[in-house]
Amino acid sequence: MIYLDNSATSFPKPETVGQAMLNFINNIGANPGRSGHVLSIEAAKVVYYAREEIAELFGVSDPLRVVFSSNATESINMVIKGMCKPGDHVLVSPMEHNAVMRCLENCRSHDVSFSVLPSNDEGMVLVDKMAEAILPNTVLIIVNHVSNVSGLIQPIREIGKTAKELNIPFLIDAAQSAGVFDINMETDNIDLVAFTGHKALYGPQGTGGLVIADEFSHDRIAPLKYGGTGSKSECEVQPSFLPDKFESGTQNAVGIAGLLEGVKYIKKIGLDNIRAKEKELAKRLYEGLSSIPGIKIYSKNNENYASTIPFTIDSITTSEISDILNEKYGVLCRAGLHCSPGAHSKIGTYPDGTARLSPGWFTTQEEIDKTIEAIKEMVNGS
Amino acid sequence: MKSYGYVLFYSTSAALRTEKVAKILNIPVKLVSVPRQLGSDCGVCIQFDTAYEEGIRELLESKRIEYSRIHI
Ligand SMILES: Cc1ncc(COP(=O)(O)O)c(C=O)c1O
Repeated sequence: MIYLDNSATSFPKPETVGQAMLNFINNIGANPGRSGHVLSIEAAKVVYYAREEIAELFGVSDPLRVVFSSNATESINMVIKGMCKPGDHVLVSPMEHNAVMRCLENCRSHDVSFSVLPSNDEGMVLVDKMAEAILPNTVLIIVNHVSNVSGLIQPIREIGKTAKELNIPFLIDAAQSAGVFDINMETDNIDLVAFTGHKALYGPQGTGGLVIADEFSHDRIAPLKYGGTGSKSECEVQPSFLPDKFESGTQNAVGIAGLLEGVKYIKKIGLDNIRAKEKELAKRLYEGLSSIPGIKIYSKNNENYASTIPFTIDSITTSEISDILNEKYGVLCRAGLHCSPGAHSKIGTYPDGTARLSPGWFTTQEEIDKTIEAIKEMVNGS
Repeated sequence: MKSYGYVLFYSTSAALRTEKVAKILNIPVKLVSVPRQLGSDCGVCIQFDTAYEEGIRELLESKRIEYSRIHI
Protein backbone atom coordinates (compact mmCIF):
# COMPACT_ATOMS: atom_id res chain seq x y z
CA MET A 1 0.00 0.00 0.00
CA ILE A 2 1.25 3.46 -0.86
CA TYR A 3 -0.20 6.18 1.33
CA LEU A 4 -0.31 9.52 -0.48
CA ASP A 5 -3.02 11.24 1.52
CA ASN A 6 -0.92 13.09 4.07
CA SER A 7 -2.83 16.32 3.48
CA ALA A 8 -5.88 14.60 4.94
CA THR A 9 -3.94 13.14 7.84
CA SER A 10 -0.37 11.93 8.15
CA PHE A 11 0.29 8.22 8.13
CA PRO A 12 2.21 6.42 9.42
CA LYS A 13 3.13 8.26 12.62
CA PRO A 14 6.51 8.09 14.33
CA GLU A 15 6.56 5.02 16.60
CA THR A 16 7.02 7.16 19.70
CA VAL A 17 3.59 8.72 19.17
CA GLY A 18 1.66 5.50 19.72
CA GLN A 19 4.05 4.42 22.47
CA ALA A 20 3.50 7.62 24.43
CA MET A 21 -0.27 7.25 24.12
CA LEU A 22 -0.14 3.67 25.30
CA ASN A 23 2.09 4.65 28.17
CA PHE A 24 -0.29 7.44 29.14
CA ILE A 25 -3.36 5.23 29.05
CA ASN A 26 -1.67 2.38 30.94
CA ASN A 27 0.58 4.17 33.39
CA ILE A 28 -0.51 7.78 33.88
CA GLY A 29 -4.19 7.93 33.07
CA ALA A 30 -5.22 10.64 35.51
CA ASN A 31 -7.03 13.90 34.81
CA PRO A 32 -4.47 16.68 34.22
CA GLY A 33 -4.70 19.61 36.59
CA ARG A 34 -7.77 18.36 38.38
CA SER A 35 -6.23 16.89 41.50
CA GLY A 36 -3.07 17.23 43.56
CA HIS A 37 -1.99 13.60 43.45
CA VAL A 38 1.05 12.30 41.72
CA LEU A 39 -0.71 10.90 38.65
CA SER A 40 -2.71 14.05 38.06
CA ILE A 41 0.49 16.07 38.22
CA GLU A 42 2.20 13.61 35.90
CA ALA A 43 -0.66 14.05 33.43
CA ALA A 44 -0.53 17.83 33.79
CA LYS A 45 3.19 17.75 33.08
CA VAL A 46 2.70 15.87 29.84
CA VAL A 47 0.16 18.45 28.71
CA TYR A 48 2.39 21.29 29.87
CA TYR A 49 5.45 19.94 28.02
CA ALA A 50 3.35 19.75 24.89
CA ARG A 51 2.45 23.42 25.37
CA GLU A 52 6.14 24.26 25.70
CA GLU A 53 7.12 22.42 22.55
CA ILE A 54 4.30 23.99 20.56
CA ALA A 55 4.93 27.50 21.91
CA GLU A 56 8.55 27.18 20.83
CA LEU A 57 7.54 25.87 17.42
CA PHE A 58 5.49 29.01 16.76
CA GLY A 59 7.85 31.52 18.36
CA VAL A 60 5.73 32.26 21.42
CA SER A 61 7.52 32.70 24.75
CA ASP A 62 4.65 31.86 27.12
CA PRO A 63 3.53 28.20 26.84
CA LEU A 64 0.24 29.05 28.56
CA ARG A 65 -0.75 30.85 25.38
CA VAL A 66 -1.10 27.47 23.69
CA VAL A 67 -4.75 26.47 24.05
CA PHE A 68 -5.63 22.89 23.19
CA SER A 69 -8.74 22.00 21.23
CA SER A 70 -9.83 19.00 19.22
CA ASN A 71 -8.58 20.27 15.85
CA ALA A 72 -8.01 23.27 13.60
CA THR A 73 -11.73 23.51 12.93
CA GLU A 74 -12.57 24.03 16.59
CA SER A 75 -9.78 26.60 16.96
CA ILE A 76 -11.01 28.55 13.95
CA ASN A 77 -14.54 28.49 15.36
CA MET A 78 -13.17 29.72 18.68
CA VAL A 79 -11.69 32.79 17.04
CA ILE A 80 -14.49 33.65 14.63
CA LYS A 81 -17.34 33.02 17.07
CA GLY A 82 -15.41 34.49 19.97
CA MET A 83 -14.35 37.71 18.28
CA CYS A 84 -16.98 38.72 15.78
CA LYS A 85 -19.95 40.76 16.94
CA PRO A 86 -22.98 41.85 14.96
CA GLY A 87 -21.92 44.41 12.38
CA ASP A 88 -18.34 43.12 12.15
CA HIS A 89 -16.59 42.21 8.92
CA VAL A 90 -13.93 39.58 8.20
CA LEU A 91 -11.47 39.33 5.31
CA VAL A 92 -10.36 35.92 4.04
CA SER A 93 -8.09 34.55 1.34
CA PRO A 94 -9.78 32.88 -1.65
CA MET A 95 -8.22 29.55 -0.62
CA GLU A 96 -10.05 28.94 2.66
CA HIS A 97 -11.21 25.56 3.89
CA ASN A 98 -14.81 24.99 4.98
CA ALA A 99 -13.51 25.18 8.55
CA VAL A 100 -13.45 28.92 7.94
CA MET A 101 -16.14 29.33 5.29
CA ARG A 102 -18.94 27.41 6.98
CA CYS A 103 -18.27 29.15 10.23
CA LEU A 104 -18.44 32.53 8.51
CA GLU A 105 -21.55 31.54 6.56
CA ASN A 106 -23.17 30.57 9.83
CA CYS A 107 -22.20 33.92 11.36
CA ARG A 108 -24.07 35.78 8.63
CA SER A 109 -27.22 35.17 10.63
CA HIS A 110 -25.59 37.12 13.49
CA ASP A 111 -24.96 40.00 11.10
CA VAL A 112 -21.27 39.22 10.58
CA SER A 113 -20.16 39.76 6.98
CA PHE A 114 -17.07 38.73 5.09
CA SER A 115 -15.32 39.31 1.80
CA VAL A 116 -12.36 37.90 -0.07
CA LEU A 117 -8.94 39.54 -0.26
CA PRO A 118 -7.63 40.53 -3.70
CA SER A 119 -5.53 37.73 -5.18
CA ASN A 120 -3.83 36.59 -8.37
CA ASP A 121 -5.09 33.74 -10.59
CA GLU A 122 -3.47 31.13 -8.39
CA GLY A 123 -5.19 32.48 -5.30
CA MET A 124 -2.19 34.20 -3.79
CA VAL A 125 -3.14 37.24 -1.76
CA LEU A 126 -1.97 40.51 -3.30
CA VAL A 127 -0.42 42.16 -0.29
CA ASP A 128 -0.15 45.61 -1.83
CA LYS A 129 -3.90 45.60 -2.54
CA MET A 130 -4.89 44.47 0.96
CA ALA A 131 -5.52 47.94 2.31
CA GLU A 132 -8.16 48.57 -0.36
CA ALA A 133 -10.20 45.63 0.89
CA ILE A 134 -10.33 46.80 4.49
CA LEU A 135 -13.67 48.19 5.65
CA PRO A 136 -14.18 50.41 8.69
CA ASN A 137 -15.74 47.40 10.46
CA THR A 138 -13.11 44.80 9.52
CA VAL A 139 -12.06 43.04 12.72
CA LEU A 140 -10.16 40.00 11.49
CA ILE A 141 -8.09 38.72 8.57
CA ILE A 142 -7.95 34.94 8.04
CA VAL A 143 -5.52 33.26 5.69
CA ASN A 144 -4.98 29.59 4.98
CA HIS A 145 -1.18 29.41 5.09
CA VAL A 146 -0.81 26.42 2.76
CA SER A 147 -3.67 25.35 0.53
CA ASN A 148 -4.96 21.83 1.02
CA VAL A 149 -6.23 22.03 -2.57
CA SER A 150 -3.23 23.24 -4.56
CA GLY A 151 -0.41 23.47 -2.03
CA LEU A 152 -0.12 27.22 -2.66
CA ILE A 153 1.87 28.95 0.07
CA GLN A 154 0.58 32.38 1.11
CA PRO A 155 3.06 35.17 1.91
CA ILE A 156 2.10 35.23 5.59
CA ARG A 157 5.04 37.41 6.63
CA GLU A 158 4.06 40.18 4.25
CA ILE A 159 0.38 39.78 5.06
CA GLY A 160 1.20 39.90 8.78
CA LYS A 161 3.25 43.05 8.39
CA THR A 162 0.46 44.77 6.48
CA ALA A 163 -2.23 43.54 8.89
CA LYS A 164 -0.19 44.99 11.72
CA GLU A 165 0.15 48.33 9.95
CA LEU A 166 -3.60 48.31 9.40
CA ASN A 167 -4.08 47.29 13.03
CA ILE A 168 -6.30 44.31 12.25
CA PRO A 169 -5.90 40.96 14.05
CA PHE A 170 -4.48 38.24 11.82
CA LEU A 171 -5.37 34.54 12.13
CA ILE A 172 -3.65 31.89 10.08
CA ASP A 173 -5.03 28.45 9.42
CA ALA A 174 -1.88 26.38 9.80
CA ALA A 175 -3.60 23.00 9.37
CA GLN A 176 -1.41 22.13 6.39
CA SER A 177 1.68 24.14 7.19
CA ALA A 178 2.48 23.60 10.88
CA GLY A 179 5.37 21.17 11.08
CA VAL A 180 6.63 21.85 7.55
CA PHE A 181 6.94 25.61 7.23
CA ASP A 182 8.51 28.04 9.67
CA ILE A 183 5.98 30.12 11.52
CA ASN A 184 7.21 32.70 14.00
CA MET A 185 4.26 34.59 15.39
CA GLU A 186 6.43 37.36 16.76
CA THR A 187 8.58 38.16 13.75
CA ASP A 188 5.82 37.31 11.26
CA ASN A 189 3.27 39.50 13.09
CA ILE A 190 0.69 36.75 13.42
CA ASP A 191 -1.79 37.21 16.25
CA LEU A 192 -3.45 33.81 16.18
CA VAL A 193 -2.51 30.40 14.81
CA ALA A 194 -5.05 27.59 14.47
CA PHE A 195 -3.30 24.24 14.11
CA THR A 196 -4.32 20.63 13.92
CA GLY A 197 -2.27 17.85 15.50
CA HIS A 198 -2.89 15.00 13.09
CA LYS A 199 -1.30 16.26 9.91
CA ALA A 200 2.30 17.47 9.66
CA LEU A 201 2.75 17.56 13.44
CA TYR A 202 2.36 13.76 13.32
CA GLY A 203 0.11 13.59 16.37
CA PRO A 204 -3.14 11.64 16.64
CA GLN A 205 -6.53 12.75 15.36
CA GLY A 206 -8.58 14.76 17.81
CA THR A 207 -5.71 17.05 18.81
CA GLY A 208 -5.10 20.63 17.82
CA GLY A 209 -5.11 24.09 19.25
CA LEU A 210 -5.04 27.82 19.09
CA VAL A 211 -1.85 29.74 19.79
CA ILE A 212 -2.27 33.31 20.94
CA ALA A 213 0.65 35.70 20.35
CA ASP A 214 2.41 37.05 23.44
CA GLU A 215 1.19 40.58 22.77
CA PHE A 216 -2.35 39.78 21.61
CA SER A 217 -5.01 40.52 24.19
CA HIS A 218 -7.18 37.45 24.61
CA ASP A 219 -9.84 39.68 26.17
CA ARG A 220 -10.89 40.20 22.56
CA ILE A 221 -12.01 36.58 22.31
CA ALA A 222 -14.93 35.20 24.30
CA PRO A 223 -14.81 31.45 25.01
CA LEU A 224 -16.77 29.10 22.79
CA LYS A 225 -17.31 26.67 25.65
CA TYR A 226 -17.87 27.19 29.35
CA GLY A 227 -17.36 24.69 32.12
CA GLY A 228 -15.00 23.00 34.51
CA THR A 229 -11.29 23.64 34.22
CA GLY A 230 -9.95 22.25 37.50
CA SER A 231 -9.02 25.80 38.45
CA LYS A 232 -10.99 28.20 40.66
CA SER A 233 -13.53 25.50 41.40
CA GLU A 234 -15.20 27.66 44.04
CA CYS A 235 -16.20 30.09 41.35
CA GLU A 236 -19.12 29.61 38.98
CA VAL A 237 -17.80 32.20 36.57
CA GLN A 238 -15.45 31.12 33.76
CA PRO A 239 -11.77 31.83 34.58
CA SER A 240 -10.30 34.73 32.61
CA PHE A 241 -6.72 33.42 32.40
CA LEU A 242 -5.02 31.28 29.79
CA PRO A 243 -5.28 28.51 28.88
CA ASP A 244 -8.18 27.63 31.20
CA LYS A 245 -10.46 30.32 29.80
CA PHE A 246 -10.68 28.35 26.54
CA GLU A 247 -10.19 24.80 27.84
CA SER A 248 -13.39 23.79 29.57
CA GLY A 249 -13.92 20.10 30.03
CA THR A 250 -11.41 17.30 30.38
CA GLN A 251 -8.69 17.58 27.76
CA ASN A 252 -7.64 14.85 25.35
CA ALA A 253 -4.51 14.17 27.39
CA VAL A 254 -3.89 10.79 25.75
CA GLY A 255 -3.90 12.50 22.37
CA ILE A 256 -1.75 15.36 23.62
CA ALA A 257 0.79 12.83 24.93
CA GLY A 258 1.02 11.53 21.38
CA LEU A 259 1.11 15.02 19.88
CA LEU A 260 4.03 15.92 22.17
CA GLU A 261 6.04 13.07 20.67
CA GLY A 262 5.03 14.04 17.14
CA VAL A 263 6.26 17.58 17.67
CA LYS A 264 9.49 16.39 19.28
CA TYR A 265 10.03 14.10 16.30
CA ILE A 266 9.68 16.80 13.65
CA LYS A 267 11.92 19.13 15.63
CA LYS A 268 14.56 16.45 15.87
CA ILE A 269 14.54 15.97 12.11
CA GLY A 270 14.28 19.69 11.45
CA LEU A 271 11.55 21.46 9.52
CA ASP A 272 13.99 22.43 6.77
CA ASN A 273 14.91 18.77 6.24
CA ILE A 274 11.26 17.74 6.15
CA ARG A 275 10.46 20.51 3.72
CA ALA A 276 13.40 19.65 1.47
CA LYS A 277 12.52 15.96 1.36
CA GLU A 278 8.83 16.53 0.68
CA LYS A 279 9.64 19.09 -1.99
CA GLU A 280 12.01 16.65 -3.66
CA LEU A 281 9.32 13.96 -3.67
CA ALA A 282 6.76 16.41 -5.03
CA LYS A 283 9.17 17.52 -7.75
CA ARG A 284 9.70 13.91 -8.80
CA LEU A 285 5.98 13.31 -8.84
CA TYR A 286 5.31 16.52 -10.71
CA GLU A 287 7.89 15.78 -13.38
CA GLY A 288 6.79 12.17 -13.72
CA LEU A 289 3.14 13.09 -14.10
CA SER A 290 3.80 16.03 -16.43
CA SER A 291 5.01 13.70 -19.17
CA ILE A 292 1.74 11.72 -19.21
CA PRO A 293 -0.57 12.78 -22.03
CA GLY A 294 -4.02 14.03 -21.04
CA ILE A 295 -3.03 14.87 -17.48
CA LYS A 296 -3.40 18.33 -16.01
CA ILE A 297 -1.66 19.39 -12.81
CA TYR A 298 -2.98 22.31 -10.78
CA SER A 299 0.08 23.12 -8.71
CA LYS A 300 3.41 24.45 -9.87
CA ASN A 301 6.86 23.11 -9.46
CA ASN A 302 8.23 26.24 -7.81
CA GLU A 303 8.90 27.73 -4.39
CA ASN A 304 5.35 29.07 -4.07
CA TYR A 305 3.97 25.56 -3.66
CA ALA A 306 4.17 22.89 -0.98
CA SER A 307 4.21 19.17 -1.79
CA THR A 308 0.52 18.66 -2.58
CA ILE A 309 -0.12 17.61 -6.20
CA PRO A 310 -3.70 17.99 -7.51
CA PHE A 311 -4.39 16.66 -10.97
CA THR A 312 -7.08 15.57 -13.41
CA ILE A 313 -7.02 13.23 -16.39
CA ASP A 314 -9.07 14.03 -19.51
CA SER A 315 -10.55 10.58 -19.97
CA ILE A 316 -11.15 9.53 -16.33
CA THR A 317 -13.19 11.24 -13.62
CA THR A 318 -11.44 12.13 -10.37
CA SER A 319 -13.42 9.64 -8.32
CA GLU A 320 -12.52 6.91 -10.82
CA ILE A 321 -8.88 7.89 -10.56
CA SER A 322 -8.86 7.42 -6.81
CA ASP A 323 -10.88 4.20 -7.02
CA ILE A 324 -8.61 2.64 -9.63
CA LEU A 325 -5.46 3.76 -7.82
CA ASN A 326 -6.81 2.29 -4.63
CA GLU A 327 -8.16 -1.00 -5.93
CA LYS A 328 -5.69 -1.85 -8.65
CA TYR A 329 -2.46 -0.28 -7.41
CA GLY A 330 -2.88 0.20 -3.68
CA VAL A 331 -2.21 3.93 -3.99
CA LEU A 332 -4.29 5.89 -1.52
CA CYS A 333 -5.23 9.46 -2.37
CA ARG A 334 -8.20 11.77 -2.05
CA ALA A 335 -10.44 12.89 -4.89
CA GLY A 336 -13.09 15.58 -4.98
CA LEU A 337 -13.34 19.03 -3.50
CA HIS A 338 -11.35 18.54 -0.28
CA CYS A 339 -13.80 20.54 1.85
CA SER A 340 -12.84 23.63 -0.13
CA PRO A 341 -15.27 24.52 -2.93
CA GLY A 342 -14.12 28.13 -3.00
CA ALA A 343 -10.47 27.22 -3.45
CA HIS A 344 -11.40 24.81 -6.25
CA SER A 345 -13.43 27.56 -7.94
CA LYS A 346 -10.44 29.84 -7.72
CA ILE A 347 -8.14 27.41 -9.51
CA GLY A 348 -10.82 26.38 -12.00
CA THR A 349 -11.53 22.86 -10.79
CA TYR A 350 -15.03 23.35 -9.38
CA PRO A 351 -17.33 21.36 -9.34
CA ASP A 352 -15.46 18.26 -10.53
CA GLY A 353 -12.53 18.67 -8.17
CA THR A 354 -9.21 16.93 -8.55
CA ALA A 355 -7.36 13.84 -7.44
CA ARG A 356 -4.81 14.87 -4.86
CA LEU A 357 -1.52 13.18 -4.10
CA SER A 358 0.19 14.33 -0.94
CA PRO A 359 3.49 12.77 0.11
CA GLY A 360 4.74 13.06 3.68
CA TRP A 361 7.95 12.60 5.60
CA PHE A 362 7.66 8.80 5.48
CA THR A 363 7.00 8.59 1.73
CA THR A 364 9.84 7.07 -0.31
CA GLN A 365 11.12 7.80 -3.80
CA GLU A 366 10.29 4.26 -4.76
CA GLU A 367 6.66 4.81 -3.79
CA ILE A 368 6.58 7.95 -5.91
CA ASP A 369 8.02 6.08 -8.89
CA LYS A 370 5.49 3.26 -8.50
CA THR A 371 2.69 5.80 -8.34
CA ILE A 372 3.84 7.48 -11.54
CA GLU A 373 3.99 4.08 -13.26
CA ALA A 374 0.51 3.22 -11.97
CA ILE A 375 -0.95 6.44 -13.33
CA LYS A 376 0.79 5.94 -16.68
CA GLU A 377 -0.64 2.45 -16.95
CA MET A 378 -4.08 3.68 -15.91
CA VAL A 379 -4.07 6.39 -18.59
CA ASN A 380 -2.85 3.97 -21.27
CA GLY A 381 -5.53 1.48 -20.35
CA SER A 382 -8.38 3.97 -20.40
CA MET B 1 17.00 26.84 59.55
CA LYS B 2 15.29 27.25 56.21
CA SER B 3 11.84 28.74 56.12
CA TYR B 4 9.51 28.15 53.23
CA GLY B 5 7.07 30.27 51.35
CA TYR B 6 4.37 29.08 48.98
CA VAL B 7 2.91 30.41 45.76
CA LEU B 8 -0.65 29.29 45.25
CA PHE B 9 -2.10 29.20 41.78
CA TYR B 10 -5.50 28.95 40.17
CA SER B 11 -4.25 26.39 37.70
CA THR B 12 -1.72 23.58 37.59
CA SER B 13 -0.45 24.89 34.24
CA ALA B 14 0.66 28.12 35.91
CA ALA B 15 2.37 26.18 38.71
CA LEU B 16 4.23 24.05 36.16
CA ARG B 17 5.29 27.12 34.24
CA THR B 18 6.61 28.75 37.41
CA GLU B 19 8.55 25.61 38.30
CA LYS B 20 10.12 25.52 34.85
CA VAL B 21 11.07 29.20 34.74
CA ALA B 22 12.47 29.07 38.29
CA LYS B 23 14.72 26.19 37.29
CA ILE B 24 16.04 28.16 34.34
CA LEU B 25 16.73 31.11 36.64
CA ASN B 26 18.39 28.86 39.22
CA ILE B 27 15.81 29.59 41.89
CA PRO B 28 15.32 26.39 43.88
CA VAL B 29 11.63 25.53 44.05
CA LYS B 30 9.55 22.45 44.57
CA LEU B 31 6.14 21.52 43.25
CA VAL B 32 4.20 20.26 46.27
CA SER B 33 0.61 19.63 47.30
CA VAL B 34 -0.99 22.68 48.82
CA PRO B 35 -0.43 22.47 52.60
CA ARG B 36 -3.78 21.78 54.21
CA GLN B 37 -3.84 24.97 56.25
CA LEU B 38 -3.51 27.05 53.09
CA GLY B 39 -6.59 25.55 51.47
CA SER B 40 -6.76 24.31 47.94
CA ASP B 41 -6.91 26.14 44.67
CA CYS B 42 -5.56 23.74 42.11
CA GLY B 43 -4.07 21.09 44.35
CA VAL B 44 -0.43 21.90 43.78
CA CYS B 45 1.69 24.89 44.65
CA ILE B 46 5.28 26.05 44.48
CA GLN B 47 7.35 25.85 47.64
CA PHE B 48 10.35 28.17 47.83
CA ASP B 49 13.03 29.14 50.29
CA THR B 50 12.02 32.55 51.67
CA ALA B 51 15.52 33.78 50.90
CA TYR B 52 14.36 33.77 47.27
CA GLU B 53 11.11 35.63 47.83
CA GLU B 54 12.13 38.64 45.79
CA GLY B 55 13.30 36.47 42.90
CA ILE B 56 10.01 34.59 42.94
CA ARG B 57 7.96 37.78 42.94
CA GLU B 58 10.02 39.18 40.09
CA LEU B 59 9.60 35.99 38.11
CA LEU B 60 5.84 35.97 38.49
CA GLU B 61 5.69 39.63 37.54
CA SER B 62 8.03 39.51 34.55
CA LYS B 63 6.51 36.37 33.08
CA ARG B 64 2.99 37.62 33.82
CA ILE B 65 2.06 34.37 35.51
CA GLU B 66 -1.39 34.37 37.05
CA TYR B 67 -1.28 33.26 40.70
CA SER B 68 -3.71 33.42 43.52
CA ARG B 69 -1.43 34.45 46.41
CA ILE B 70 1.94 34.12 48.03
CA HIS B 71 2.05 32.75 51.54
CA ILE B 72 5.12 33.41 53.67
C1 LIG C 1 -6.45 24.13 5.27
C2 LIG C 1 -7.21 23.31 6.25
N1 LIG C 1 -7.90 23.91 7.22
C3 LIG C 1 -8.57 23.22 8.16
C4 LIG C 1 -8.60 21.85 8.13
C5 LIG C 1 -9.39 21.15 9.17
O1 LIG C 1 -8.58 20.37 9.97
P1 LIG C 1 -9.30 19.49 11.10
O2 LIG C 1 -10.23 18.57 10.35
O3 LIG C 1 -8.18 18.74 11.75
O4 LIG C 1 -10.00 20.42 11.99
C6 LIG C 1 -7.92 21.16 7.13
C7 LIG C 1 -7.91 19.69 7.03
O5 LIG C 1 -8.79 19.02 6.64
C8 LIG C 1 -7.21 21.91 6.16
O6 LIG C 1 -6.55 21.32 5.18
